[in-house]
Amino acid sequence: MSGGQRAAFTRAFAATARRRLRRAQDLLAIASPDASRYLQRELHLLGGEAAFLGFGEIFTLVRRGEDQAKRWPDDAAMSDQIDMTLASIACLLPPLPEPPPAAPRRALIVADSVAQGWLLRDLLEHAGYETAVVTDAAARADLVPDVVLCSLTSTARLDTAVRVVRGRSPAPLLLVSAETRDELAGEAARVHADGFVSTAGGLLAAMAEIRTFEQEAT
Amino acid sequence: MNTTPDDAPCILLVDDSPLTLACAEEALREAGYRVRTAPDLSELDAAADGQAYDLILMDVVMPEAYGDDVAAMLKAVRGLEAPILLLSSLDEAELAERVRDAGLDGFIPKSAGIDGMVDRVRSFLAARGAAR
Repeated sequence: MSGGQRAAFTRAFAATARRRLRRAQDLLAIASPDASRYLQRELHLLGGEAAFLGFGEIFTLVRRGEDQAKRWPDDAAMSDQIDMTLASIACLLPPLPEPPPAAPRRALIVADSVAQGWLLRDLLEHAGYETAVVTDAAARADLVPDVVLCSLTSTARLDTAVRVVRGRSPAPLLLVSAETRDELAGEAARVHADGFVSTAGGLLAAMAEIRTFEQEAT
Repeated sequence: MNTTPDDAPCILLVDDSPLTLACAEEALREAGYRVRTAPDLSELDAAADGQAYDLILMDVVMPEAYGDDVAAMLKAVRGLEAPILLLSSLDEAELAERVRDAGLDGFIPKSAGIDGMVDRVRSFLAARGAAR
């Protein structure tokens, strides 16, 4: 068997074994003859897989767990021992592969105040976003946004920005301002924004709101 | 692409662990054998019906029945002539006893690992004149 195939089966074992251990833990909470039987079966399967794939140390521990499970729940003290055995097995399992890194989210910031634009950019980049900042929505940005943040003090510029952004991108649009939430809610409704974030409660709270909005939107 | 020739020895694998089944199938195919798998008795019933095998590899502890009992039944009632090896993680002494009691052809401990299993299958079939 090639190294690649063997690695794939080892990854499959890592995932399967964790599922079996989770089921074993669930069964341990039931404490009945049926639970004992199912627990023995779960461990037997895990043992066979470990042996076959060359995880001898895991196999030895699983075999011990099987013996303990045969005496449980008649011997209630076995519960703790089985628990320890399962924990020891978990420590020996091959690691699960790292999940692929999430693609960075992209935010377009439309701000008529340069300082406010930079502030939002720093905040978002610190949170892992790719950003582009423009002072005028009509200015072309290379970035195709996942979310657009509009921080514009002029009503006319805001109306123009919303129109331009909507025409170019389906990304959700959020109004960002230091106004109170009530004031922002009215403005957001007027321009049909997808949401709003008030920075009145601090930038970190605002960032948390942006994240929440993004998670709900995706 | 699977290029296993039609006259390659055909092996039936019976095991209720999907992972073990997949590993063993992959390794045996790569070694040049034709392979059919059965994860339970119903699949085994369909697989054993009218198909000739050069070897059957049978797990022992399965939810519906013990593999050695099933193997003995296949030979005695169905008249299956294919050799049957137990493939199990049970102790070798216990496997030897089960093989003897059920009148089977031998066993391969799962602790032999994937490559060990392929080696033993190859040796077994070579000794019977069905080598790959």
